[in-house]
Amino acid sequence: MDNITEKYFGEILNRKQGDSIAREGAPSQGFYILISGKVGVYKNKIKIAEFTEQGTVMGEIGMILNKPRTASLIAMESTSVLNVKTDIDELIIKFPGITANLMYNLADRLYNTTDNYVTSIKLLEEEFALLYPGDKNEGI
Amino acid sequence: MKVYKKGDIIASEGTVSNEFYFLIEGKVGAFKDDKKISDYSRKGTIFGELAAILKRPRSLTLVALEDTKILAFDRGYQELIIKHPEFAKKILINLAERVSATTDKLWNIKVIINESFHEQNK
Repeated sequence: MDNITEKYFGEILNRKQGDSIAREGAPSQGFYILISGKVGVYKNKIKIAEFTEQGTVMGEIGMILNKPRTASLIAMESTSVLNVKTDIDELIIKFPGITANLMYNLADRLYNTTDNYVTSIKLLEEEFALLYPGDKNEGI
Repeated sequence: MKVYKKGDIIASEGTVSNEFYFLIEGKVGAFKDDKKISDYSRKGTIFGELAAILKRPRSLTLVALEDTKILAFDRGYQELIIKHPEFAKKILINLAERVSATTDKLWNIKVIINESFHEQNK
């Protein structure tokens, strides 16, 4: 990562442990790519995810939907991220390769979250059936 | 352009293909085990994109609910992005909205499950 990278792709942010990279509710300014370190994703001060893998894309939903950040990104140790300051139209035209990766990742996440959601609903239904066995006879 | 009569199967559950579909006219139903999960009737609706992008077997069967015309794009999402950026944008926004909504729903369910387990263990 050098000046050329910054000129064409965005700004490199170096953050110490505990520092904020993006704040929940703040306007979205592009998205982030993890260069090194560890990033925690926090919603209402509860950690919902953690990223350590180099190249992980973060904050892309805010950029695509052009909405304020739905979660905060906090450095869990000394961390460097590349903030790619772009919007969806520019991204698609200028970086079709990155767009393809984003599209694949979103589809994969949707597939997995939907799966996880369906499994959780089933679990909840089974639990309710155990707690309130009579409810199954509803309508009889 | 492909034309389907009412009742025709457009794509079957379990098959693998990289076809994206764009609805031109008519109405399409998405079925799982003979149960209708959703239907599409708005002109320009994109459907079948998840299986096409992920190259995984389709989780739903697509059926024409009335006489239907669709466009199928079968050259992969990378080419779709270059050839039809306006469709790629629609797909990205749609995926992002669905990821965001499903994540919220999942999060709420997890909270309920944690609370009810907690309740049981009191």
